[in-house]
Amino acid sequence: MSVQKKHHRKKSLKDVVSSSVRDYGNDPFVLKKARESKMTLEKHGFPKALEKRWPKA
Amino acid sequence: MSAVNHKRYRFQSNEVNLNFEFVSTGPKGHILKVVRYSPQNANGRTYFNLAFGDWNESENTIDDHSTSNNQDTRKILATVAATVLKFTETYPDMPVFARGSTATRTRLYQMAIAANLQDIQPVVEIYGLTRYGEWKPFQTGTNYDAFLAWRKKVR
Repeated sequence: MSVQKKHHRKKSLKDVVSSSVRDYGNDPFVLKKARESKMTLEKHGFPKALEKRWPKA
Repeated sequence: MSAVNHKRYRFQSNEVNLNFEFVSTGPKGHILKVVRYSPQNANGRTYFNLAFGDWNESENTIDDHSTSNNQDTRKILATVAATVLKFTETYPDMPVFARGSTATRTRLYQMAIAANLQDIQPVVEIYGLTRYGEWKPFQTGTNYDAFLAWRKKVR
């Protein structure tokens, strides 16, 4: 009696690069969120740990 | 391959990995989700803002306030987390800022980070903005108003 091994392949996700993906850069929601983030970061600054990574001006 | 992959959707991105799309599938049908990373500048520093929402075909815009109730919140959040990994892999020197449109949405982002911390933390540094306006390293169980993430330097 032969024992057949079942090969369970893990289904891997293949993310794809596609030219059909729209550019959402000018979406009003995106622009609003970007403006709000700028206000927050100008008020509170960046974490010190991140500042250390940037070269000194 | 990251464990995040087992419970997330496959995404599509444009060539420069700034725009991401994936389809949420559940009882409410198929809903196109969009993640966009936009370059921005504050205090002379460049970073990218993460915007995430449903694509509203009739309004032709992203809608951050819709509640799709497709019973796949964790899977969606894992997919958004996967886009952060992809983005920071492409732009390792660029920090990503994220905040939901409402406090509830921001809590969702927090859940996404916490649920995928094992996959994210080895490669990405995450800080949260506390209610006192201070940036602190992300800790599970603490509430934050916003998040900043950036790729750890390879030693």
